[in-house]
Amino acid sequence: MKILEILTALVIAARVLMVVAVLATVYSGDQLFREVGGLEWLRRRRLAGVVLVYGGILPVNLTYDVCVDVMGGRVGLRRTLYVLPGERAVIRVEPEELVSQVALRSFREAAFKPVDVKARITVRVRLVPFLELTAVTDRSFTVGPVVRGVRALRVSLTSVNETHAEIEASALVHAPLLSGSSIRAKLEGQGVYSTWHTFVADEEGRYLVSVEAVVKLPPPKSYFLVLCVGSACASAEVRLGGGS
Amino acid sequence: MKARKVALGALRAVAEFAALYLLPAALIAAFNAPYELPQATLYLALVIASLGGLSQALSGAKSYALAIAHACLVLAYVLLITGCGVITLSVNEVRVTLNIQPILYLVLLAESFALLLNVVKLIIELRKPRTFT
Repeated sequence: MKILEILTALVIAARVLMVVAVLATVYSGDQLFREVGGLEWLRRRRLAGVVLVYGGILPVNLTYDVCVDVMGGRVGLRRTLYVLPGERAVIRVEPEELVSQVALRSFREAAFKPVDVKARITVRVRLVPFLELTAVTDRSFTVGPVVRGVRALRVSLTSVNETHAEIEASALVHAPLLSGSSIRAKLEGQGVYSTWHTFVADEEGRYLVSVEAVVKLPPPKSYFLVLCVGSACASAEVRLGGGS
Repeated sequence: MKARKVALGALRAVAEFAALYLLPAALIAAFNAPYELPQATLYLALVIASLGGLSQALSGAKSYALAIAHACLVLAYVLLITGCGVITLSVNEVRVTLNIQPILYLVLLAESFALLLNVVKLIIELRKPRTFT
């Protein structure tokens, strides 16, 4: 009869454990999803992050994973967060940050013209150790143009000799999302000899572009300042002595 | 005394059917949950409720044998409605996968102990010396 007592005790213990596990998971899940922000952005078809402020019982392991495809290229961005019971923490992935990552790593095609991007967003939440929830959504959006403007564009003669003249083209390029990347520039036009010049951004994401070139006399009135970010290039026409 | 056991058995059968089929179906409909009970749930719930009612109404070895069959089918029911612990739903273009395997293992553990308990009770019952009157 002792085996009956042992088995009865095991049944009771297992059922108590089961009830405790279910209650802890339901309570923690309720606490978690009550205070998760950012999901509303997903409903509005915007790429957005997750804000987690947690006050449940079970530890939470949250992974926010974005995999972006554009023009054959792929970039992944992952954020993870482990929250212990009683801790309150925030995980945030801003759309600007995502776009910035996209632009910097392989989507320089978006430098001068908008490109369509497909993103797969995966949010994985583990209520350790009882529950794992994975939400996957596919979104399409447009990135760029990342170069927001080219201003103060001008070409001026710096010196003139018998057959040639030296000229200098300058422009201010505003592209804060490219601030970790370099921009190449050269001047093109009839009889213009110019090599590529490389520029990096200042703290505010502005590129002060200044290209020197040699031109046969008489110098043409019109030139093209070619700007390249990676393999993506664009040109802006500029007239001697004036703006574009 | 026998009528009372039959009434209790019927009551248990109705309660089990309500808990295993009517309540989940009502909750899914009430909350408009993006989940459908598997087709076999209705038939399984009917059989489980019948077995539960009969094991309550009968006594002795037959009752334990029916309780063992009942416990086996409850395990099958739990595995069926939870998709073996992984449930996939589609909500607002978001594909949601719920993995509740750890909780499922706890449920199966508790039910397995209950099953084992009934097996032991059945063996003890069958080994009892029988008296014929």
